[in-house]
Amino acid sequence: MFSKCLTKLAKFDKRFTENLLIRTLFDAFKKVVPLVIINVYLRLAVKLIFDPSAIVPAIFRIHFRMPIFFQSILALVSAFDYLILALVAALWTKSYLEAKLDDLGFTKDELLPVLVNFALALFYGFSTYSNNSQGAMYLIFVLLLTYLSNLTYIYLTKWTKGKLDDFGFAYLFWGAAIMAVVSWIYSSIPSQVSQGSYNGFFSMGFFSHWFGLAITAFLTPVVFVLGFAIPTDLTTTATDLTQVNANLNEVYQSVMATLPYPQNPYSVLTTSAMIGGAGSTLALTVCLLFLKRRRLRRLGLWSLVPGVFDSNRILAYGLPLFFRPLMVVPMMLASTYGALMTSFFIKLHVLRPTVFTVPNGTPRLLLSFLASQTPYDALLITFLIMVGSILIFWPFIKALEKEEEHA
Amino acid sequence: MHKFSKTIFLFPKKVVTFWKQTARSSRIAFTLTLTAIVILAILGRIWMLSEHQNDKAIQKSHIQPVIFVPGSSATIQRFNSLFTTLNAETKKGAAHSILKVQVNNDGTLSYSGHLSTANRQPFIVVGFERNQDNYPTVQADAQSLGTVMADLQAKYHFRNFSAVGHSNGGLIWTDYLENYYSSNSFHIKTLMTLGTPFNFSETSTTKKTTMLSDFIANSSAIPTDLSVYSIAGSDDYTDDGLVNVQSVLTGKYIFQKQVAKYTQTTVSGENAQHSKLPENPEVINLIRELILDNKANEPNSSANKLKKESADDKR
Repeated sequence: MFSKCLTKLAKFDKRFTENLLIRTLFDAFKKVVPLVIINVYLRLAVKLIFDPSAIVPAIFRIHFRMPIFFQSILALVSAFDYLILALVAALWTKSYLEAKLDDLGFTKDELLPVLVNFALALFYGFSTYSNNSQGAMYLIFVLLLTYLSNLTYIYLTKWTKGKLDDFGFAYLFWGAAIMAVVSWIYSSIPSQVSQGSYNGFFSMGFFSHWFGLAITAFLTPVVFVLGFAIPTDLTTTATDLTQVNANLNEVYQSVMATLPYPQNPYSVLTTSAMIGGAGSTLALTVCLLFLKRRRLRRLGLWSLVPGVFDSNRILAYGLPLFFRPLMVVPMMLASTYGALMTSFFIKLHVLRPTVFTVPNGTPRLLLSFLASQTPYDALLITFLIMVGSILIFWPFIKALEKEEEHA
Repeated sequence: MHKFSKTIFLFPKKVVTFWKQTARSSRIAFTLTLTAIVILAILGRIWMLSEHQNDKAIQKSHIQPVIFVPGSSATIQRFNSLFTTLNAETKKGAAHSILKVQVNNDGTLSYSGHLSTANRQPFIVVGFERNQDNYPTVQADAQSLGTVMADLQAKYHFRNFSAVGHSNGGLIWTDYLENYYSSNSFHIKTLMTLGTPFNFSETSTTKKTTMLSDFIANSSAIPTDLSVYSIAGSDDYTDDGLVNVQSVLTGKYIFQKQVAKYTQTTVSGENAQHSKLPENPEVINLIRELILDNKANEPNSSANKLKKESADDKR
């Protein structure tokens, strides 16, 4: 039954990735992987060492004096994120339009749409970049706008039967119209969306029950795979949710107090459903290490250390995870499995929930061990979650390897 | 049953074979990462245990000290007269206790005085043996201030505090807030700087010293919920005998757009000279109202007069 479903899913995934639109998008993702690797490691260094609230300065009780150019590095790292997005938009536009226009029998220079879409993505960065905090980045916005821009370009070319000059007034007007519409759309993005924090929403009672948390754990990988930013309330280890504050106050009054909200987004989702990033992808990274195919193994090697510190961006672009049916299913399963396991053991009073805040950058793999009042039980449960997640990912990743071998 | 026990028996052997068949690079990376995680877990646990104890004590502690940093060439005795005046007004038995910490040239700390919880706002003075009037000294002292703050918190378990910096003491606080302050450990409510030359001796606001440029560049690290009061002393609105008023006013480029409230004002009259600013009656009044009584929002307070003044200045 399972293998039948898996075969069906693999076939669907193959058909899906062979679609021109997706194939060219995935090619663009894979081309920017070296840049993503540099970006991820740079961000990791900043996050772990130079941030005064980070884990390395905290544990070793050292304070690195921020170099004068530190602010510039921070700005550079953030700009890097947007540059990668812009490159994806440009590379995708180039290969997609080349193939599509070729199919339609038009010979065109795609430089103008490539530049327009590059600018469109970069402009998203200018509109939402904040100096103080890393804003939430929505890949889906840029890709959707790029796609719509490409569609209009193709329609214009078809309508005019490809007779217009590549840089003629009509195409220049098209570029200007696209930029005007895009800037209007960016300006209407609410600031809460660009900050990606929904404290009030996640402080609601629904998120203090196992079913609410299980549904969230199930949906989070879908949101991620579709290119939306995961709310920071679910990812940060220094959260400010009402449930977490109430628990903390209770513990400070009496050490082994009964906690008012044992099940909350921090104690269940951050702790167990996102080990290695949305969709529990640390288990996926470990699986990749043991594959025979060199490309996938190398991806696993590159993403191992970032994965431990909960960044799955290298896999997101390299595998890719974005828009990948074959990957979203095990991510949903592993994420839900982790959440349900923790919820179950909390309910049984075997595990006391993650309650304390930890320094920035603390691996979620160690979160419950460091911040729960039953650290050794927490360690054992995390181990069970990891083993279970690896077993969930393994057949899917073998199917992926097979698919790549046949490609 | 026999098949099941055979599978169980053969499982370790299968794992070993699988491990041997795995690429060498993967095995090395996996082993190294696992080792690093174990080390991190042990160190993290030790840190959490100590921090948790500290956290609990901080949560229970109600003291909110006012921490004073003197300027260049000044010792930890700089604020004695100010403390005497302020303590003379308190009820008997509820005087602000005074603790003094000196950072010696070799980095060691010398404590004198004591800190009691009789008054919720004890005074702490942090002075530096190395106290020359230059930027490298300000940077080094800010780093030492980070060490002193951690030491004070470990000893007296406080989280909230207010800060007063006289002259270069204000520069040390600014450098500390930008580079060493962590909102996970502390919460600073108010910073008051007295005759602090944010642009050193430069009189023109268009010429920025390296220090001022650095302060402006790193200002995003300053906590956004902070209230800052920058006070200049003057008889003739040009200088206080040592520090130029223009240099004090350049503080606005660092704080104004970053913090919750930034107010700058000039005091004059008796004791408005630079070295005597901490004894100036208007300054004492401001410390009493804005830091000790926290009357910043009351209609008749000096703080409100300050607001009016700064509004008039803008007009």
